[in-house]
Amino acid sequence: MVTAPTVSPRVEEERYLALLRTANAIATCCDCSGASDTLVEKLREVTPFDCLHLVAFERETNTPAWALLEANGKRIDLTSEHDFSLDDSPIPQAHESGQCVVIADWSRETRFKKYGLFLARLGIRSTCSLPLTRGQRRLGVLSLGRFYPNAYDAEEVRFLELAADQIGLAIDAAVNFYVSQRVQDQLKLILDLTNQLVSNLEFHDVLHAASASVRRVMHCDAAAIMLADAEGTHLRVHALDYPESRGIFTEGSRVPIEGTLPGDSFKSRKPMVVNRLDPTAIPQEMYRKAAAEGLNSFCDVPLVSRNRLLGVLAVARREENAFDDQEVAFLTQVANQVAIGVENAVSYSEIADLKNRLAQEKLYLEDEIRGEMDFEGIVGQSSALRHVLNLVDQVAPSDSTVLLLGETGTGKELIARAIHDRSRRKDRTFVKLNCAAIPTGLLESELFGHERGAFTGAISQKIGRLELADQGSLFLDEVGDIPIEIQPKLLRALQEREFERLGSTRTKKVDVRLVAATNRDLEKMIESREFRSDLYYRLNVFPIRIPPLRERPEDIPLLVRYFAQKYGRRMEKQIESIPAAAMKKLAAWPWPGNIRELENFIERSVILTHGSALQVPVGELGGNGRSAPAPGTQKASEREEIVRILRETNGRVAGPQGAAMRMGIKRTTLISRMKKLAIDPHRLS
Amino acid sequence: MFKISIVETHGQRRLVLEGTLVRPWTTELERAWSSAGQQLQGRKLVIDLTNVTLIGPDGENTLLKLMSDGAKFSCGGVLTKHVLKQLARRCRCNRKLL
Repeated sequence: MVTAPTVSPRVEEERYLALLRTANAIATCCDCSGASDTLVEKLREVTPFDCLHLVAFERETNTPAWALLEANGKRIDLTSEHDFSLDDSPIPQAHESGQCVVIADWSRETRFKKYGLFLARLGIRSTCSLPLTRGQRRLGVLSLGRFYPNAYDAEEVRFLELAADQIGLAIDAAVNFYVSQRVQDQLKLILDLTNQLVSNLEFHDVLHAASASVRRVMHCDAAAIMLADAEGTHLRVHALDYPESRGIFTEGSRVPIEGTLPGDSFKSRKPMVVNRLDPTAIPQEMYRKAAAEGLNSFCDVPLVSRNRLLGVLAVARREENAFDDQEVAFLTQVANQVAIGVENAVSYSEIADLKNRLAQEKLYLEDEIRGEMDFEGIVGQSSALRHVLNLVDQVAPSDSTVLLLGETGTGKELIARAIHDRSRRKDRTFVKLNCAAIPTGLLESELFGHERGAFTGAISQKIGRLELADQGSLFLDEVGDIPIEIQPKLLRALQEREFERLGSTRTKKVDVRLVAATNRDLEKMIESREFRSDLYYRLNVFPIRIPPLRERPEDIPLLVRYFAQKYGRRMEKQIESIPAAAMKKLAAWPWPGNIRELENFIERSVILTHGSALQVPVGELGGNGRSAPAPGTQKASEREEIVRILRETNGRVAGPQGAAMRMGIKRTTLISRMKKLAIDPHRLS
Repeated sequence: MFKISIVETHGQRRLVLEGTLVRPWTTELERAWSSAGQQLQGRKLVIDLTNVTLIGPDGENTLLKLMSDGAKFSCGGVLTKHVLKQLARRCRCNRKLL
């Protein structure tokens, strides 16, 4: 009978030294595989063995995590089928009890029958199963075996228990190092993935970057992102990263939610794994396609962000049993990152769509306003109007403030819009504010805006007109009606291009071109201290005086026809002519309300019209104490206009700087009019 | 807004203009006019201004150019008629000067 050999003290010392070397060697290993290889290699120097079975247990679940079996110097593949179960061995017993389990002779052992038969086939007769512990923590079991019975006596077991303690410490250190390394690697991979996701904003770019990163991070053969369609019946493959694809799975294809693996994952909000292609376990269609593509393992994880179910992240590998619990847990973490990225991309896409829609609506509304205002069609051919339009053309391209002076109804807003439309700001907003139409207390808020709670009733934040007009033009109508207490703030906004919203300490910068208009005499208002002189000088950069209608009576017939046609079309009346007598009467009337009055009068006339000739209630023109202008009045106003322009041009009639050019008429026409009105340019200059 | 429609009949091809005749649509009108002038096969080419709501200065210049090139117009409304009359007068003056 062969028994355990007795060892001399010298040999004993050598064994302890060898144990120390083994523990050191294991502890410096960087991964489990390296640690186990080192253990097998070095342990022979500590104690002889014919068979080694090492099993590591999962810390949380206390289930076998991995195992290694070597017999007769050969590694035995434990992934292939064996006729024994680990439960049917002394290993769990050693692990649970924390005590060494010695089987002196397996031929006499009645427990663990299958394991015994397995060992018998290897020729192993005796084993010693040693628990590997660290403090109270059980790490695994190291089982050693010999070809002969009774190999492990009490003394040998004592030594092996000591060796197991050292080996346990060393393995724990190696495992901890491996785990921390793996966690670090996973975090790095997730960081890489997150970087990929956040560096893209476009929906399709994000999905493609995510699928490519996931495939790389997970070392998979294929990765796909499927999102639920609007009906909620199918998942659409939005991104597929499968370099070796045979073209069976394609981007854009739709996967039904009912009866498919991704659909099941989507519905249950849980990861779904298929580690082997089994035609009885998976749908026929999927089996056919997967087999054609050569894919054998699949893992589908739902994409959920802030409790919003978006779709499914699917990965696949060619080999079988490719996804273990750890990988599924890691893939779930990856899917969480992908879900955030996808949701951000969806939100970005929605915002971009909304922005585009708003831009389209803005264009449409601006077009509507243009149509309503007809500002392109400033009707008239008089020299006075042409002079105004010349000034508009000159000042529009600059960013200078323009002050429009003119009586009510002369078309100041139309001119302001013409300035904006001819300026480089024409693509930006034209914001109008009628200072006389807003209550004094609200004007400041309308101009500069307010923060929530700035005053009673300020229930929400409001952007002021000044801010709205940033990069565009602000038209302040009836600027003379701005209360004197707001004027310094407006002056600062115009001069420094900065202001604060009411209730805010934050200074805002704006770039606004100001067009102001008034029908009041601002100089007189300065004298009466109703208007600040500094604001007046800031506004009076480029004044344009818009002539009243009585100063351009030659435009009246054209305006009458224009309004008659406009209201005729609107009221579906076919107006073909305007009686000459009526036209004469209209042209002779001074129109104190200017074009607005004329327009309303013509509208009334169109309402009264039956037939194709405009029926003008000329009787109204003589009423209300008003009288038609004296025959000389028109001539006098025309004379005044020509004299004024001649004075401005130093009596020059012709040439580019001459009065004729300024008035937009021919030189000969001007000379003829001057003769008729007895104007001598030499005297004027 | 501006719209040009082409109505084909036995005797004529009508360019029906609707909306505001201002820039940049004046260029579009010139283009439509020159392409409509092809393959008339003896028919008349008429520009219908009945539904034009506004003719700006550029629009007037374009109509004058087309008128000089021999365009025929049909219209409604006192202002459009007046504008066309003025343009016809200018066109005659220009011809005399030439």
